[in-house]
Amino acid sequence: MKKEKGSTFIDKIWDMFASVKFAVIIFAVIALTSIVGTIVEQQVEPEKNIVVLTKLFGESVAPDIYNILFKLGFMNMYHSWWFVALLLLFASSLIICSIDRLPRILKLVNEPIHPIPVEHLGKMTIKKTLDIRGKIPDIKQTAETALKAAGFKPSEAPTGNGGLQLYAEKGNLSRLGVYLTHISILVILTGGMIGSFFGFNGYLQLNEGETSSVAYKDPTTPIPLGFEIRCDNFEVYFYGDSDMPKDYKSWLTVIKNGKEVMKKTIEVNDPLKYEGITFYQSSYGTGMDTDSGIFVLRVSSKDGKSAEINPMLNDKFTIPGTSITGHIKYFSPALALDPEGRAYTYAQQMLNPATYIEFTEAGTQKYSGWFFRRYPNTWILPDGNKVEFVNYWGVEYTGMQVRKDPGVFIVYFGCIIMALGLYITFFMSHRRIWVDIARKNDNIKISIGASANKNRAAFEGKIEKLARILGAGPEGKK
Amino acid sequence: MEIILFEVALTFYFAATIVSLLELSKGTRTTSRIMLGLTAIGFFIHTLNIITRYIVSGHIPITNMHEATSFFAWSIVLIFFFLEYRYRPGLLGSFVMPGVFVLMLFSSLLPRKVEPLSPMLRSYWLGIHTSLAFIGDAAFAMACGIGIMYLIQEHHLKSKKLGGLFRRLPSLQTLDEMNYKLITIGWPLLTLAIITGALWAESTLGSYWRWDPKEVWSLITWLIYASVLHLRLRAGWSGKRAAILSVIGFCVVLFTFFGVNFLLKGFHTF
Repeated sequence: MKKEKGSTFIDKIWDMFASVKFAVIIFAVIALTSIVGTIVEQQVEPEKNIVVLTKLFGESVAPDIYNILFKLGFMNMYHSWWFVALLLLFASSLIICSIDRLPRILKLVNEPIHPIPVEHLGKMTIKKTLDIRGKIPDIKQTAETALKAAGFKPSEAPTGNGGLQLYAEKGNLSRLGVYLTHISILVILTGGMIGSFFGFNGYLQLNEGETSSVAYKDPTTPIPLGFEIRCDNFEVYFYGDSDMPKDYKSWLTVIKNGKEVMKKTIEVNDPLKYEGITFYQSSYGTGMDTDSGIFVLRVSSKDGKSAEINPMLNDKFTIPGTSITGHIKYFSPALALDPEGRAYTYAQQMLNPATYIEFTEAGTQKYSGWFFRRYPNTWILPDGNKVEFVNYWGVEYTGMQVRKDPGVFIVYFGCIIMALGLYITFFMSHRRIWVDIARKNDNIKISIGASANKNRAAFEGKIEKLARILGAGPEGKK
Repeated sequence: MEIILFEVALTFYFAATIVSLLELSKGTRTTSRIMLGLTAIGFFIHTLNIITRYIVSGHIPITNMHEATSFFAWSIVLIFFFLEYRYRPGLLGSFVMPGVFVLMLFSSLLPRKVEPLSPMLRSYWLGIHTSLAFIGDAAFAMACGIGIMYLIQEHHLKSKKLGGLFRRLPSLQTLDEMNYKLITIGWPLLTLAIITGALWAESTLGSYWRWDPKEVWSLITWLIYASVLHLRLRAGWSGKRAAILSVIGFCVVLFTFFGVNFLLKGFHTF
């Protein structure tokens, strides 16, 4: 901190930033303005928020309030210039507060502990005196052992008249824990800024079989990836018989310069990462034309001959080793039966895909029926032959979040420092202890004084224990 | 099975609440012991209820409003026993058990069906993130209760009503100390909950921070308690001011928990 002549204005600014009240005011302003962003939805079409504002303030003023809020940047407030400025003020206050207090803290950390006059021990926050019988060297021995057991490295100073004082401290570095916490916040903010300046946040929708070399920030802004990504397959898994999805997966291939360089199956909690760009499974759906897909069927005869075939709707196939022909007549992405047993399609999503196949042998119709992908018991034909409905490929699409965030590891690093800093700040303390042993008439008088900058109650318990040990020392019977 | 356990726990908490309220007007060591005993039995059965539900559903039972509220009440009782063990404050139960009972009653009115988990929640972070958040919030709840006790005790002192209730309530100094202790437990836990939430969101949604209403309200809560700590340590705001701030802070916690789910949109709504 510079103190040039005539820089009183700078001094005043410095003092303002160094005061805790100013910091708390910034906290409060950030907190209060943030509330607005949780009420008006961020980065959405104006209509949505006008509806919200109408509910809150009435129809007549809602558009005006919307316009005012819009001009002030509240529709994307967490990225607005003034909110970023608030965060910078917050960071400045944090830095200046920390620097301002550093000399005092360093003094407390570095200043070695001294012996102090016995009458001062009685004024300490933790104190204890006891009179016992015994010899000074023995008592000293007991006290030293007990202090060492508690993690202290005691020093010794004579106090005259054969008496002495043991003194020790530990955890003086714990006073710096709060700095670790403060630095971690700055690290996290830096990581966040790096992410928002050098990263992007987009999405990509790929049909089964489709390849793309870009992701999209919005429908009209493609972002080049620097490689290509292909969706080989997509699957949804359900809870039991319900239509409630349990998990969904995409089989992806990364292609760089025409070569397949990576293959990975992504699911909701398990993304694919390549060259700093991460693909997260986020949604899925079924295309408009559900009849254009390719079936994956495993057809087997009752004597065990089988083949995997890939027909399309209206195609015909033969069960291996027989002269039975199957004709794929219908497909439904979500088939259900009404109370009269008639089949109908209840959704355009691939919830319960089913196909209707008609079988003929030598020109005569043998049997026909619905094969459900989700129900293997529908796969077996009356004569023991089998048509496994493995997949219906090419009509579903996978929706992915595509993100590049070079700041994310900095943020993680900040989080680790923060956890460490919090532990040191709240669960460790700078503890100092003085044990004065002096002759008093025929007895020995022990005075203990101690201080801890945090968790005093816990330290007090330790001192009680020390006093008990001393009181019950080898020759310390009262 | 788990529903019966819930009802039994609720009944014990109810009995403990009645005794704790009687204690306010006429308390002895015996009533205090009865209250603690009833609460302990209730807590034990409540724990069994949570374990059973865990076994039935295969994940920590915290994913709908009924479960979350019940888990919140459980966390508060947990912190209550910690304080009882550590400080043995008088009459704390009278200020905590009614709140626990109201939460449990509210929870009992909500649908209790064990729902399958959406793919987004199927992660080991679910247990870590939510239990940190709830135990942290429980510490704030307790700090609020202690804050109210502080204000009552201070009112007694000011108006010189040094009667029975005054003598049975803990001293202002103990209350202030407990209040501080609780915030130094709650705030680091809240911080860890936010950090683990960020890690989880990063792996699931592709972003560690999306300014979702729940995230923003957690940040607001975090800033409030950060202020409480800084004002206490650096500007000497202890005692009455700290007590009032911890009551305000807990109102924000409650809004973050209930208000955001019921009024605002976002990923955390059940």
